[in-house]
Amino acid sequence: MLLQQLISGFATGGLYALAALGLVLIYKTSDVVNFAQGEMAMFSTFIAYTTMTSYGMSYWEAFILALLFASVLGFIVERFFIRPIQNAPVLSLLIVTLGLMMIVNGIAGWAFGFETHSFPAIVGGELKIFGAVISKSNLLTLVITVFIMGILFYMLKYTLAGIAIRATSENPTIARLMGIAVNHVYSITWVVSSILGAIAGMFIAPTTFLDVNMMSSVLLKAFTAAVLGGFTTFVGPVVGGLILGVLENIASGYISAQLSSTFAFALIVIMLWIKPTGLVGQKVGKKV
Amino acid sequence: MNAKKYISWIVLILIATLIPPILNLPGSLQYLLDLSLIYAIVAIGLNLLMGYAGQISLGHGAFLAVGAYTSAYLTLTLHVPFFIALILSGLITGIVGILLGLPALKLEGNYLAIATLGFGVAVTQIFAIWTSFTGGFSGIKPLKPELFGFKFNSYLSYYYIILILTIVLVILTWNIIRTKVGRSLMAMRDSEIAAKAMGINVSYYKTLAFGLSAFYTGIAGSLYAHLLGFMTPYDYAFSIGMSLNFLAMIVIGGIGTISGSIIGAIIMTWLPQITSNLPIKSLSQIITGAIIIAVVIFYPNGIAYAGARLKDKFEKLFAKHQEKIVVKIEK
Repeated sequence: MLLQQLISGFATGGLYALAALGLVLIYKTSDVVNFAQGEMAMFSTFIAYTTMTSYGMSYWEAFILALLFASVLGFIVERFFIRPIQNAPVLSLLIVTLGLMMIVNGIAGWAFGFETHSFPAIVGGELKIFGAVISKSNLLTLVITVFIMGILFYMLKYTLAGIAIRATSENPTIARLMGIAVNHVYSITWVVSSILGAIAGMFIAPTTFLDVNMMSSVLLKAFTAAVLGGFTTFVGPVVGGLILGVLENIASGYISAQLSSTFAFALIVIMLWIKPTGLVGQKVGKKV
Repeated sequence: MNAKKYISWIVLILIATLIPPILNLPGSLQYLLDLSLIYAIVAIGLNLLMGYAGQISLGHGAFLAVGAYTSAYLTLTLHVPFFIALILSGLITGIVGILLGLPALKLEGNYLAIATLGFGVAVTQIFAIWTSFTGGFSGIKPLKPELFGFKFNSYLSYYYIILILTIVLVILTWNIIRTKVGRSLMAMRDSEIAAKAMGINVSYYKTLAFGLSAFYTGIAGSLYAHLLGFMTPYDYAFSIGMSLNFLAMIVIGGIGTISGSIIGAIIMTWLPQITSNLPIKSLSQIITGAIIIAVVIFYPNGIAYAGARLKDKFEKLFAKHQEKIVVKIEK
């Protein structure tokens, strides 16, 4: 029973972590909290759904296509909406991402309709390990999530692009002086973030069902994950996501599954009250 | 404020008073007019928080719900008269605002947006489950207001209650902005650290800003409940979508202006109506999103300011023209 709850908790938590990583990646490099992240992921998931149902593509073909679409979307959003006002105050950037959220959601409703669809899981069936019943798709989701995070952290740590991202997140001006094309870094982070969101969206869709508002609660969970772990490190959202996934799984058994967003809100408030930097976050000094 | 501005506001109030009975609008349009003013009250409250105090809120739909259900509960279950319930729901929502303001003390910018977004989602979820208070899915029916035996049954008669309250709240806002509280809020907005250095109690004013803003929204919520006559916790006005629309109102109208809040509220209330006949269902939402992005990029101070700038340009053009004539005569 406990193992079962842990696995399914880690599986959903891993997805929150992926979405949260996308948020933090952008936040750390360009100081923007992307409120449109959830809607962008929802749109990509709909692309996968449409190509599967209307064009008869297989799951993985649709999956790849959706990721391609997500990267283009991420690129466009950064290039045409965020870059023109890069140096604007926080409030302006926030409003632009909220505007994008409305636009993307509206276009999705127009293009795909407001009905709820069921989205296929990667695999069906269940496994029995040590007497615990674990769904295969949960297990596979967990494996894929861990794999993706592995690639991401490897890239951040060892590749040139990753080092450029970390340098930019430390100090964009000095990064530019060191010969890093900071604008390219912004593009890359938005593309990667959009892809991470889309993956999370496609893996979450089988459980939440697919409609234009599916990602609003997932976005809140991603925020919670990022706040729990801390917005200032890349490890933070992973830790936060996993904790949130497990906590939520346990809490839904005792309290009510209907109150999961309320639970997330309570966690946000408590965390921000006790330790605003998050569990593994660093304190960032404030410039006067 | 100068005499010219006084006169223009008085003319505006006269127009707002006289136009509805002259036009004799059909019920649905009069309803929208009522709604515009209610949203204007919310927008003024939100602007006090965002435009003057510099704090972000994505949870004003939830405050509206708190105000609406408090008022409905007071009048339906406790049989409190409407006008007392109106003020009480403002005060109670204000207290909720102060409570939300407390954790917000430690937060700024993006974190505050996240926390208030969470608040917005949580309140809707709690209200949906708390059926003994909200009636749940089957809804409740708030009564039409009554004063000295006169029942405000029609949208037109109710319009005047809302109009008077809007005027009172606008005057209140003016006085807040022009006195110590407003100056402190603006100082805090421009630089929290500098404000602290000047001896302003930042924590106090931040909580106060949340409380005041929630108070306005609570009043609007009460008015909204009695306008509707039937409501459920799933009402669009209580959702995150509406909270974003409130934000859009003040961004479009102009952050930090009272007239802008009213203009923005009117635009945002009528836009869905205008686009409702078009084939694209979510068009008003797409347009709203596009407008607020355009406003932020091109007119960061909103439409109220853009209008002033246009007037300024026009006057300059005119002045130049005059100058040229003078020069010609000299030659």
